[in-house]
Amino acid sequence: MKLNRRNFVKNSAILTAGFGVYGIARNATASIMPKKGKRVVVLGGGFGGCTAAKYIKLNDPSIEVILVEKNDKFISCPISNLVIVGLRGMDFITFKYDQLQKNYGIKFLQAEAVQIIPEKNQLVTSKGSIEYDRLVVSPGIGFIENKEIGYQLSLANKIPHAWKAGKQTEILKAQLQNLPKGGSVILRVPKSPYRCPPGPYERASLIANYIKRNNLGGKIFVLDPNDDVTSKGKLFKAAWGDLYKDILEYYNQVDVTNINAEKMNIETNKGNFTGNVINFIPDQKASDTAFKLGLIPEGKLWAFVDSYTFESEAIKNVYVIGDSTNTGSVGTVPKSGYIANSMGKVVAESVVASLKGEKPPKPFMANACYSMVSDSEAIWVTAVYEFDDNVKRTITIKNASGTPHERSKIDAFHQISWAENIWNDVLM
Amino acid sequence: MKKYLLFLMVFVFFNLSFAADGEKRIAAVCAGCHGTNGASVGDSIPIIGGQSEDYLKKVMKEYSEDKRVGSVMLKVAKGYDDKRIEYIAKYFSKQKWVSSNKPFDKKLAEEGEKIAVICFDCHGKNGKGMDEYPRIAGQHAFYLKQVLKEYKDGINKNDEMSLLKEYSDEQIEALANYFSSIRQ
Ligand SMILES: Cc1cc2nc3c(=O)[nH]c(=O)nc-3n(C[C@H](O)[C@H](O)[C@H](O)COP(=O)(O)OP(=O)(O)OC[C@H]3O[C@@H](n4cnc5c(N)ncnc54)[C@H](O)[C@@H]3O)c2cc1C
Ligand code: HEC
Ligand code: HEC
Repeated sequence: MKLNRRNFVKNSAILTAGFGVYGIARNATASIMPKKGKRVVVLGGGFGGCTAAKYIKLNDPSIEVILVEKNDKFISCPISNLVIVGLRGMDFITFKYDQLQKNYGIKFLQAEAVQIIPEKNQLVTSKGSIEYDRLVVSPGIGFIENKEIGYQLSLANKIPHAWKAGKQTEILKAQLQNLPKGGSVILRVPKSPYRCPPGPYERASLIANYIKRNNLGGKIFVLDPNDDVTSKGKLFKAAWGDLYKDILEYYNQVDVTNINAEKMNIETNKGNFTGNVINFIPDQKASDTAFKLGLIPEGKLWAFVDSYTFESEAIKNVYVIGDSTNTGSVGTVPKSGYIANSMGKVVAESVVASLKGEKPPKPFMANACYSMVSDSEAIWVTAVYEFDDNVKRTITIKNASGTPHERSKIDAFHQISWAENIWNDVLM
Repeated sequence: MKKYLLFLMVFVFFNLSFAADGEKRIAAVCAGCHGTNGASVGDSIPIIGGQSEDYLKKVMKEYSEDKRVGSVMLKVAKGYDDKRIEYIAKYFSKQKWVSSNKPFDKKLAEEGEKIAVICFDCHGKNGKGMDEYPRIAGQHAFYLKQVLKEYKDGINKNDEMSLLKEYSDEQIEALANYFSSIRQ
């Protein structure tokens, strides 16, 4: 596979020029943190990266692990839909990185990664460059702009996506708080593949519940470009029918043809929609970082990896996990926090084995996504996956997957317990 | 003598295969819901790290055969055949038990203590469990209450636990708080 060399060079040129302007680092390639023993650098302090860093240390404490992350805090996308409608506070989903340092001796470098120098096994960051024996990259997702329909990311302050938790979450939350009586909300679902398949439908349910709870008498229009609800369809539709009949309107196979953020209007093949709040969740691709670092083949949107080891097909000694990976090159796993957590564990064994010159064990993963359908009831989907020697991919184990028969109150409690446990496993 | 040798060989073999790091991966995926090494910090999902081995084995097997009430576990357990369940039970039983860190109601716990003696018969003094009798001391009060109600209502069927049918909701609440309050 060919690297997107042209863009790669162009981007790194721009970034290097940028340093002078911002004065972050005069010479970004100046080496910092000189390497002594074996070292793994992990880029991205999200679900995948933190898990990888922690489990490398659990598997072999003698390896030096440096976690590179541009933000000083971890803000969880899971549970952020509850924050948006006021069921939980922002503080509930916000964490520091200090436990990883304290409990496992992981070094934390708050910096932005800008380039990989493969020949030197070096990662260039805004604070200087660091050498690695192995580099694990888990940079999350990026968004696709579509100028033809008038969608640019610069619109996200006015029509937020809230598909990366943080400032965006707060913007959408504030807009909903200001939703007038009788006002309407438009939620645009992204086209598959995107992170967290049930996420948009959970959000739609919770916004409908918010409208109902507060007697606002308004509506939510769910505009979905996909053929149908992409996850737990029956269960979501049952909840919508039972609870939000006059509030939630769902449209499938919707092509947005124009967005007018001034007039808060969206034109589509299924008619025109005007809303007081527009939550436009754009189509997705690998994180801009993955493109910048040269991990995406020409003309592709995701990072291709070896399905067994997660080593990048583009750059040796570099491993890619999490939402940025091409699904087909891994198997049948969705883009979720639980899967990124699972991949973190697989890659931890993979890099530790490779540093010892051994063959790692076969990938084994699990997924679980709980979704609230109201302020008190939830549904879920879960599956266990294993590497299959015949297809050479990680696929669902027969019968070890499914959804519940109906929504329930206890699953709403399990969602919170699940979140507390996965945060614990990722960060503490 | 021959028998003994065979036993020894099997024993050594099993321990060797247990030591093989490769299998850790099938236990590691549980942590996303049960916390690292089964030390669940979310109180509706049970702590399984440090739980009794026989009980873990029995429960996993029942989930995998749809012979036990549950939700997600009825799916997850089907990824685990007998050999894997054997491993999983050993793995989690060897972890340190980390008691619940969620608050409990002190007054209710005192009430519960007064009626808990009968439970010691099977769950051991102070609810530490053994063999097929699960550890209940230091488990999350929320989970204990939930599961005791299931025994009371006959949703969770077990002869030895059928005594719960005689208990009121208040007594169940008290017992849950008492056993959860034992936190060493
Ligand atoms: C609303 C919503 C609800 C969700 N709910 C669930 C759920 O219930 N269950 C579930 O399993 N999943 C859920 N998800 C999906 C989950 O959040 C993602 O799948 C998960 O975060 C992917 O992990 P990751 O490691 O790939 O990326 P991320 O967690 O996004 O981590 C990427 C990290 O890399 C950092 N980074 C990127 N580029 C650079 C750079 N150049 N330099 C330094 N740092 C960089 C970023 O700052 C970020 O911290 C949800 C998502 C959304 C949006
Ligand atoms: C999706 C979340 C999830 C995953 C993944 C999960 N569990 Fe569970 N577990 C639960 C919940 C919730 C319960 C309560 C029963 C139920 O609802 O199914 C439970 C109950 C249990 C119990 C019963 C404990 C008791 O005290 O009776 C055991 C044992 C258990 N799980 C073991 C495991 C093991 C081993 C794994 C990994 C192979 C695992 N679980 C993976 C959520 C999960
Ligand atoms: C005659 C023996 C016996 C007595 C007495 C007994 N138990 Fe149990 N208990 C069991 C057995 C066996 C199980 C496992 C049953 C199963 O597999 O469902 C169990 C399971 C439980 C569980 C579920 C644990 C879990 O992790 O899911 C709880 C809680 C519990 N008992 C509490 C109590 C309390 C409280 C009392 C006293 C009122 C009590 N038990 C008395 C035998 C007993």
